[in-house]
Amino acid sequence: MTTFDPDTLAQDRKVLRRIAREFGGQLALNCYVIRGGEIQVGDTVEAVPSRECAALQAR
Amino acid sequence: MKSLAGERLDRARIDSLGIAGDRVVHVEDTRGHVVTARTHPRLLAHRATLAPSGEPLVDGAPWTQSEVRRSVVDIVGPGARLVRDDSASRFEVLPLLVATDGAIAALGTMAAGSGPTSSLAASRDLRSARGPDTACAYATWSSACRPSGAGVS
Repeated sequence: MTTFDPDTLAQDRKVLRRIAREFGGQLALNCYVIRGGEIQVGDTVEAVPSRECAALQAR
Repeated sequence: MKSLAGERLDRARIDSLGIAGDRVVHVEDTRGHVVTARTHPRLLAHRATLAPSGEPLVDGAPWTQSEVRRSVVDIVGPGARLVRDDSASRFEVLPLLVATDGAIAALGTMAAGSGPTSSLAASRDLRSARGPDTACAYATWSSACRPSGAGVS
């Protein structure tokens, strides 16, 4: 819940306004999973090209 | 559990519907409509965790216990109930949200009132983390990368 702090239940609507204004409304990615697996804190991550997206679409 | 306070994980299994066990239980009102913290933020005062068995717990108790339901009724009103749904339709948008440490730090920095300079620097981090070849992973993700079999509401 973007505007609520779950620890205090305090609401700060400015958070959403900042995401819209300072980040063009894009702060994070909503994702599908192409291939599952295990992840853990400390794992290295990288953004990869979109070939797998195209392959997924073609299926 | 949907709309309750979440659980910090050191490791997780990701399957086709995101983090295993994520939001498999939600709250419904008497009309069967899904109730979220948008309208009932007090739900966030309760903490959901996943037992090793895969069963969701609310403040440490199995979600099916009557005391859990009483807490939910106290917040949402008479007739509110907890419902399990493991299907893909339980997600409002998509099953998984990925945010970078840089993006979160940038937002936190702004919230602390450190001004726009640091937030701009951090938003550059976000762009670089995204990488130059990931057009599909961003603006067009939701349309271009939608698997035909995914039941997304």
